[in-house]
Amino acid sequence: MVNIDNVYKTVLTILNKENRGYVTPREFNDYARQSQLEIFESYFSAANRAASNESDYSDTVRSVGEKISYFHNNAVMDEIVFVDAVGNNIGDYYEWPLNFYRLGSIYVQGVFAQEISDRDFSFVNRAPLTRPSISSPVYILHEGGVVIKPTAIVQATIGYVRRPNDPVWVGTSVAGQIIATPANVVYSNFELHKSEETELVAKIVGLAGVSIKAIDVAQIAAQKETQIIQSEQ
Amino acid sequence: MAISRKVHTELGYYADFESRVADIPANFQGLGYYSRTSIEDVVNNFIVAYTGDGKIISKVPKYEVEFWAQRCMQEFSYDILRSNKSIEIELGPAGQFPLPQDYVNLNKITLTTAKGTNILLMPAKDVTNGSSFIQDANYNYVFDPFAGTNQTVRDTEGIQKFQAAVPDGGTAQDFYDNNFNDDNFSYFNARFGSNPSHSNSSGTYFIDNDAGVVFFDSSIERGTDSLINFHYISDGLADNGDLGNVMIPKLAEDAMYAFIIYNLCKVRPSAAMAVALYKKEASAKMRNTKIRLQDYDMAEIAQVMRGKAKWIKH
Repeated sequence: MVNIDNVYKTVLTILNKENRGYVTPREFNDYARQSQLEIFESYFSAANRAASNESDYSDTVRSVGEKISYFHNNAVMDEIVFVDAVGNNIGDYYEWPLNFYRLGSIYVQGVFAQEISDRDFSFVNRAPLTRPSISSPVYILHEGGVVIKPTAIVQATIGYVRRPNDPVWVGTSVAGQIIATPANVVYSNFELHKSEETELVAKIVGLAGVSIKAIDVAQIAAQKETQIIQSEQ
Repeated sequence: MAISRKVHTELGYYADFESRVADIPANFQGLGYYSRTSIEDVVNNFIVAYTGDGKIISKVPKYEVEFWAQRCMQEFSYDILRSNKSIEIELGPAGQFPLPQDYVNLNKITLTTAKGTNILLMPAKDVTNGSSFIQDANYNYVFDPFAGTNQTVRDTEGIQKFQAAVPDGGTAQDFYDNNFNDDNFSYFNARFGSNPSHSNSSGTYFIDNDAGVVFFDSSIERGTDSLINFHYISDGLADNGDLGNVMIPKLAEDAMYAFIIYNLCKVRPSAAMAVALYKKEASAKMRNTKIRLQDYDMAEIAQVMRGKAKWIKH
């Protein structure tokens, strides 16, 4: 978790150094949400590109996996009937949890369910050796959820990555000093790994630089961000 | 890693055999369960040990592994696994019974004697039971007016004659005694130059695979004293709705892994360089499994060979 107050004050310090401008809390919160999502999404492609080794602390794939694991969740899904846009009822349907972001695995009574395309399912389901069963379930991705076969299944467990909560800085000004109010119910820190603090600052400064038309700031922030990303690989 | 692989306590394992109902485990696996493992376990073990990053097959759908595991089970059932399937049937007046639902091929049919030993019955090779069209008085075919197809009967005249009572109403031996010098009698063939495959007084059977029925000739007694043992092979997958119920001997487990990896590589160009290696491995392990399951026993062989000096008589 990254302390949002630290990030906000660092951003203000950088921007105010030459009296370039001021980022209001509302603007900051917008940039913060955008930056957090960008970094979060980059994990999934980074894990695909990064090299792996057997070291304890320098294995990039493992590091990215650890960062993603902060958002790993399990949930039990019950079968429902899904009504699509044209009014068709879709059976054997299971809706994603509300905070769903990316799918990990689906299990039925502890048994791993295999993902399958609609086309392959049409073949698999007609062959006695491959037809889905309770001990060999399959699922097909669908709008807002999945269709799990065989029909006898009524409940499944999903392992998934949830969406990070939006960071929200709330504070006030006391005697010219900006003071955060973490006790406020909507106040929320960044949920990313602590190591992301510098990249968050660089990204927010870059976005703020564009906003206040300080192109040099945006360029420097972009360079800094690139430097951070390269050093992580 | 220190957990025992035995599923039951000793108390629970023997409870079923000793009729101690209260001690029988809810998930009792059956006596002798430790000699076999389920296909479900094999598939899960295979995915863990043979697939993944850095391995020859990095990613494979589970249903594809299950498909090859089941194909392996079928092939092993036909070729190398012990034939454990048999049913005992009292032969009814019709002298026929239906094939079992999971029948794939015949091993042997025996007749149980009064002492409980088995006599091997031989197949009637010269009998057929093709479609028998119903014909009218003018010998024209009779058609089903609704379906537009020929009307047929299941048991042809030929099979009825095969099953017909012997002319003198006696046993096969009586029949032989009364007819042995009749050159037109085909059951034992002619007196001279008889065909050994027909020189059999135990009785014969005929399997109509199309109709799924076994027919016995009239020399085999009907009724409660006539116990037929039907030994057959299945494909081992009759319960494949739950792969946890499909069992393979542990002696064949390694051969199954080799069969699966070979066939998965065979259909993947990326693993083509390993196919030859895996093909040899699968073939060798299948052969080893066959030897393992043969249960060659030196003491038994020695006992049989003690009679080697005897003349072989027919």
